[in-house]
Amino acid sequence: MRRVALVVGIVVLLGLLLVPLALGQEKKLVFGYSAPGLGDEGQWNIQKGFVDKCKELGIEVIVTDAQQSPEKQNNDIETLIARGVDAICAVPQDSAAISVAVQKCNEAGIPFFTIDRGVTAGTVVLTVKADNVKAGAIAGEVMLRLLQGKYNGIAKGKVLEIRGQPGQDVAEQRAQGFHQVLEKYPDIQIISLPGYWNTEEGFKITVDTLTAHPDLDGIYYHADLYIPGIVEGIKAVKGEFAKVGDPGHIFILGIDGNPAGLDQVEAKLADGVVVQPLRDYGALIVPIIVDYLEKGPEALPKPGTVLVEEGASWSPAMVVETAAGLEIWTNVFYVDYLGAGDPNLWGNKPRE
Amino acid sequence: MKRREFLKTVLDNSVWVILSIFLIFNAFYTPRFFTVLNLRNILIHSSILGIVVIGESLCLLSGHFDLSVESTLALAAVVGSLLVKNGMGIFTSILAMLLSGGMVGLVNGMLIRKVGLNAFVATLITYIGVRGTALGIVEGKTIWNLPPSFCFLGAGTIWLFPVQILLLIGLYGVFHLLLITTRFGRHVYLVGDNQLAARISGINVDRVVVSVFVLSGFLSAFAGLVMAGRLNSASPLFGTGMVFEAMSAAIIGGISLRGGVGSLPMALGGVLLLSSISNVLNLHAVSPYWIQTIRAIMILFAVVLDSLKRRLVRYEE
Amino acid sequence: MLLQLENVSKSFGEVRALENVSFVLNYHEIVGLVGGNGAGKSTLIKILAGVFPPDKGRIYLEGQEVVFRNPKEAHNHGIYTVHQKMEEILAPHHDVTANIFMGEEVTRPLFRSFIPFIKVLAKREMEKEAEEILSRVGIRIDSVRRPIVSYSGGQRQAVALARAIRKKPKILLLDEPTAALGVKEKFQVLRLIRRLGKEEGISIVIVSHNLEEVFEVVDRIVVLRNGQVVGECSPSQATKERVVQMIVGGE
Ligand SMILES: Nc1ncnc2c1ncn2[C@@H]1O[C@H](COP(=O)(O)OP(=O)(O)O)[C@@H](O)[C@H]1O
Ligand SMILES: [Mg+2]
Repeated sequence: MRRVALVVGIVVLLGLLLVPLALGQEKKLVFGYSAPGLGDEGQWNIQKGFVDKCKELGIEVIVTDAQQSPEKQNNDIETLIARGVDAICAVPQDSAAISVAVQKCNEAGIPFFTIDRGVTAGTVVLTVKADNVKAGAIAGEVMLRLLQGKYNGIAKGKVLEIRGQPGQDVAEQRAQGFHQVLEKYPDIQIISLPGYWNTEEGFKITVDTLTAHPDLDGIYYHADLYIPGIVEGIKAVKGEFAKVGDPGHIFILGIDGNPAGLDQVEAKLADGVVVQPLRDYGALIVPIIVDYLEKGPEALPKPGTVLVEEGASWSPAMVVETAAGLEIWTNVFYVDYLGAGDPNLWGNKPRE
Repeated sequence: MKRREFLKTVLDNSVWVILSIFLIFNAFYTPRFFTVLNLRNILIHSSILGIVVIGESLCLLSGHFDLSVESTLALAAVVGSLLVKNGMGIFTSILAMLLSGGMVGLVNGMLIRKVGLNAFVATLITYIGVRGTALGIVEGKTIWNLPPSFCFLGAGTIWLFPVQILLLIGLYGVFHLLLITTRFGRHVYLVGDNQLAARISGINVDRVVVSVFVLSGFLSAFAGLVMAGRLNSASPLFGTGMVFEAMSAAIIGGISLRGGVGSLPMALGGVLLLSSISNVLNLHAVSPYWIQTIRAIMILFAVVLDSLKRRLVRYEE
Repeated sequence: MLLQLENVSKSFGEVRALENVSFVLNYHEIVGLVGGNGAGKSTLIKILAGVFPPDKGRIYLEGQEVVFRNPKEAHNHGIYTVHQKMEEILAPHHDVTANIFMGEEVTRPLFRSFIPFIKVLAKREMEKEAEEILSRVGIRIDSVRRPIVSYSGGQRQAVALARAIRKKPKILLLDEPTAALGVKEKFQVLRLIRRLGKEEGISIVIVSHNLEEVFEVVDRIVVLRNGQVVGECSPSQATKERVVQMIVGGE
């Protein structure tokens, strides 16, 4: 008799122990996040923003790092599927290669989201990215203003554009926006050369172009990593570097806003930079994922609308239906040396 | 007999002949190409790749690939810059970065001679691992704004001459002499030409191969120092893709991938030719979409010209 | 006894190349090592040359046990070899001089007076010496500066021979040194071998398939079959038929 009581007691106790676990499992969402390579500063920040927002909402996140390998990213996503997460968000390392994993995810019935880049095949619920065309266009507008300022209101001059990898969509869009704005002004000559996202290549292009065109007025770069090459390239040819505002200064501006870039702008080495709200992609997408899991497709924002949130760096963001699916294109904005120290910029936020 | 000797001299220096043709052609057809400033630019552009090519050539001459050169460059740049930024002395930092390069070379050599891995595989492992380590050390960050004395080798000038160019010339001189006038240099060639015969003749192949990789590591690290100075910054992504350029330069210079054949001055010719081609393309601001194709055609042209001439006095094998 | 091998065995995986081979080489003696293909002759030569160590067994040189961890140590004991295969001997893209001095390059101080430890190759001296040795070997090589690939098989063998005798070895090991030679060159090389053995007192082991020439130059014949020593005789006492029988086996 006593023994029965003991057994019952133990069972009840075990049951009690299990209850909170079971309850927790019911309530707590688990998201998978597949990063292409956390060695990259921008990627680290996108990931950090995503994880922080999840923590805030009490969601558990499993983060995987593909270390720049498309193949590893596929394996990572399969592992996440096997773990039975509620939703997966990825920054594709390679838009085509990831499609295999996306399709597996679709079969498993797990909703798939992406940040920064789309995928070639498979169903993605939503993609959040910066509006790179707009970023290029803003850079174009600023360059135009600077040139007009230099030449008493006349739009003329010679500008070097140091591109990323030709053919890659980010580089193409950043070029497209810039050209859209400036090609209306026939007296502005744009010299475009590919730098393959390589600082040294940026140095060489700057040196060679300054040699061919000593009267160069400005340089537009596709990524912050080119800045040291540009600055040193100008020094190598001209013997010295004229800072922003000094006579003989060559206008330098571009896109990214990572820590080194912002520092350079603050130090008046570069005129300014168009910043993407990398750190806040997560803040934008995580609540949408949660809503979607609760209510289904109605919870998604409608194409053609503009999302606005007071004080959020991604705001305003455009909702667009593209060939690749539903996308939100976040705001990008220009900062010069006055704004580059803003602690809210992702490039100025501390790592931990 | 005289004619044959002359022909042989020309052939032994075919890159220089091709380079001269290229320079003369562009002196007429590329504006601002044949100016002191631009020729100086070409030498500046050549210096970092050129230093890496010395190490790569040593390995190729000994019959081994070294894929890890570009990763070693990045690691050294990052290590040195990080130390110097954290208040370490210039010399200690430079010493540490050179040592990091030497260590990578030592690991390569050991993997090949002691573990018995194929050089391609061994250096592929370090190629991946070392770049990864560089990324890990700074977590992907770029370090910038380095002390001017640290940048001296990359960006300084002595009188009118950029230090980079002096280094390039000096290093090629020293290593060429090392290769052709010393026993060690002779052994590097012999090991590359026929490793088995070299071993059976009593040459310590282990020592030669390990030394060659350590030297290659040192040189890559040194190139990392020059690059960090040149760009006043250090990023773990420095030098990406450079190993292919280094191999192309060496091959264009006539260094055989099978080892034992070729010379450093010729490899330097290859470096200068590649740099001149890029320079011309930049000066002309060729469409960014076609630049690679045009570069490939120019390289093909150079190589075909070279192989045609080579065929004239080829000994049958 | 100059050199003695005691119960030496060597296997390559499954293949037992040598099994309990004992072998003696006396002062001023020329020994002919004969046997069919794969009998283990080259393996024996390579063990003596320090190319690889035996699996078991001992080697004595002038009564002292020696262990050769590499070819260099065999060289240091005065043992020089001409191996059978070209790819074990020569660097094809290097000139004749470089090949003759491979591994034993002559150097001189760069600045004799103030930094004597920086040494550079003494190219002139080496070329001169190379020409002298080649003339001793007696095979015409028109220039010591041309690469090996531009020479015939016989000329290459001459280069290898020149390298082996350059330092006046104590023991000379020759693995089929006449295989690629023409009639005239063969005659000359045999004469050289005899002179080295008889006049200069070098002890020689020569591997050959040509019993004619073996009978002509050697003092003693050792027969190997399937990795074992199966017989020994002196050319003055045995007939060629008897030796052939030992090589192929059976009665
Ligand atoms: N490096 C090696 N690896 C594997 N097997 C070998 C090697 N060298 C020799 N052998 C084998 O050992 C045996 C004896 O070879 P070898 O000494 O070259 O014979 P021989 O010179 O008498 O013709 C042969 O069966 C040969 O295949
Ligand atoms: Mg044999």
